[in-house]
Formats: sequence, structure tokens, C-alpha cells
Amino acid sequence: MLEINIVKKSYINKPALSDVKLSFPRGEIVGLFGENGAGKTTLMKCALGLLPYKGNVTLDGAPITKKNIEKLSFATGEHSFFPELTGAGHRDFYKEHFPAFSDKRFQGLTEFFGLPLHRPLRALSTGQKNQFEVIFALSQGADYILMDEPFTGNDVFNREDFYKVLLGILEPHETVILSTHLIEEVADFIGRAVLIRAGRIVGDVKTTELEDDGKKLIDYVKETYMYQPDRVSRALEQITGEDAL
Amino acid sequence: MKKLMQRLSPPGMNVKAEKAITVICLILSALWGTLYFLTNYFIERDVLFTVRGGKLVPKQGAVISEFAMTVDPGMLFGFYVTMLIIAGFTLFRLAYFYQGSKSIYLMRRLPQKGETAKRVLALPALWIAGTALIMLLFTGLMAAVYLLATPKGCLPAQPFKNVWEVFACWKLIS
Repeated sequence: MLEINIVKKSYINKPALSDVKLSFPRGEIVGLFGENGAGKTTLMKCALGLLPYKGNVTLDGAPITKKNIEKLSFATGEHSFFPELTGAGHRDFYKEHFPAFSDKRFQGLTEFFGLPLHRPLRALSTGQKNQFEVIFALSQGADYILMDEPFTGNDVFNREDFYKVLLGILEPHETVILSTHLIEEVADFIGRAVLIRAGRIVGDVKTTELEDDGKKLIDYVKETYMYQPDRVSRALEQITGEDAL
Repeated sequence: MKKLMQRLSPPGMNVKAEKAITVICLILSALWGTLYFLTNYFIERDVLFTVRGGKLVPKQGAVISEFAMTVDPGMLFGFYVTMLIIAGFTLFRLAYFYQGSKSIYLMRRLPQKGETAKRVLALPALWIAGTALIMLLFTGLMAAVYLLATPKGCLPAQPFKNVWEVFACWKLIS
């Protein structure tokens, strides 16, 4: 169980996370949603120990240290690979440093996406770079795979393929926490949605609960964020001075 | 050797440029040091001789200055600059983890302690140690030239008295 207990984080007196409390059991696919600047990336970076914070994050009751950090992996839209190193070079690096690295999964995924293994990653397209970033995170052998906007720059077909592959390869003990803006696109693939706004958790729901209520995920998100459907028409009216509709 | 260098460098980094810079700096340092030594040494040595009957002969009772007085830390200036340049490689190595991606995130997620420090500091530290060793050998070579090229009767009683002063790099600043 990955537990985030009353985590606070500020950037120069501007709160980025306020008393965030969440827990993630093994075997879930969780969507983390929120506007730009809501705190999604900050939350992930705090969980990984990449940013200092107040509060505590534990994995199976133990704080995240060098002893258990290998149980967490991270794929980020910023990319965390070595641009000058090839895919094969990365495989060797991961194998050396992460004993649970799955060569089989790495090989299967790189073959599926037709990724070149002997070119430096900097020479690849943005889509291919993203694919490598996600493949490394999935192959590391982690129990918790944190993905922060990993598909920026990938076309819709590519993304669809990835979600399907993800569902097909995940083991029951693996949890994916996926931060994305593509709510409708991932709605069918996630089992739980966590909504964050201005550094606070404003919604946390299982998709089965939404189904039971006959609600769509996007509607739940809009409702939670108090989305005003007429805001576009009002803005257009204000700009053009005419009735928008 | 190549594998060891790769293990002590940021993954994917081309170490060739660092190697080339280090070798060029060492060659220039040795050239500078040799010229510096020979210029200073021959000024001191010339004083020892006089021309008698058209021949160069040692002056009666003339004694050359001690080795540390003949040369000063300026002889090793190039080696110190080389060490500073190598120390500067650590900054480039650290910056490598922020160039084109944030690979520092991956480095910080590694289960092994000190992996980033190892890949940033170890090889430059080894090269600095190597440069210091070459500097010592070079000084030894110049000392051998000093001993062998000076007529025996012109050597001081303690030719290597206060020899450590040759390495007093702080004197270069003052």
C-alpha cells in the first residue's frame, strides 16, 4: 500500500499541496486529474522523494528510502532517460540497477511499438521518446508505476494502443497512477479517479461507483469542478457584444 | 578500461572530449614547464661559467642555487590549470543530467547510494590524481636534469633543500 499522509508542499510561500491524504492499494489503475498547476506533478514528485515536502509518504508502512525506492517507477512527459544513450543502453543500465527489471516485457513492448534499440533516444520522435519513457517505467519491475502526462505528443491511435497493452500486461500486484488531461480517453481503462484542485484532493471515486450511479467520468469531473457549461457563450458574448447562440 | 570509464561517467556521455582536453592540457603543461625550467636553469647555470682561453670553464667556488630556488611554482602552472579544468568537468557532468531531459530524476530513483556522485566525481578525481602524479614525475625529471647538467663541483651541499616550495601553488596567486 502506498500511503500519502497529510502531505504539504509550498513553492516560495505559494501552497502547491495542502494536507493531501491518499492511499493506493496494489492492483489499481488510478487516473489523477486536475487543471494545469493543480498539483498533480508535485504530488508525484513528492511521493518519489524528488521534492522536499512536509508530511510523510510510506510504502507498506515504511518511508520511501533507497531500500524500497525500486518499488516505484516514474514516466514523465519531461522525460527522465539519458538522451545520448540508446534503448539497448538503457536496458543494460536498468538491468544493472533494478534487479527486478523485466527484459521480457521490455523486449515485447519495444517490438510491439517497433522502436529502434540502437539509436540514441535524442534522435527519435517525441512519440517514440514517450513510448520509451513509459516502457522503462513498466519494465523496471516496480509495484507502483507513476505516469505524469506520459503521452504528450503521441497520436490518438498510439495512445489507445498503449492503454490496451497496459491493461494486458499489468500483473495483479502492479498499480498505475496516471496523471493526464485526457479524461474521456482513459475513462474505460482506469478503476479509480482522483481529482486534485489547487493542491487539495476534491474527488476520489471508483469508476464502478460511477457506473452504478449511471454517471460518466467526465460528468463527475465537471460536477466536482463546478464547471459552468455556459462560460463559453458568456465569454463570446462579452468579446463580440452579440448573442453567441 | 572503456567499461570502467563508462561506469564512472553519466550514461551515454562521450568521455572522448574530456580525455582529449586532458591530454592536450598535459602536453601543453609539460611544454610550458620544460621551457620555464630550462630558461631559469640556464640563467643560473650561465653564471657558473667563465671563458678562459676561448673555453667555457666553471668559475672557482661558484655554486648553483638550490633546485627550489632555481625554479619556482611557475614551472608547474600548467599542471595546476589542468587540474582546475578537470575539476570543471564535474560541472559539465552534473549539467548532463539536466540536458535534453531530466535524467536526474532517474539517477535519484536508483536504489544504489551515491551513484550520481560517483558518476560525476570519480573520473575527474582520478584524472586529477593522475595529473598530480605526472606533475611529480615531471618535477623529478627536471630535478634529474638539474643534477646531471650541473658540474658536480657547482652543486650546493643540499641541492633539494626546501624542495616542497616548488609545489607551493598558492605563491602563483600572490
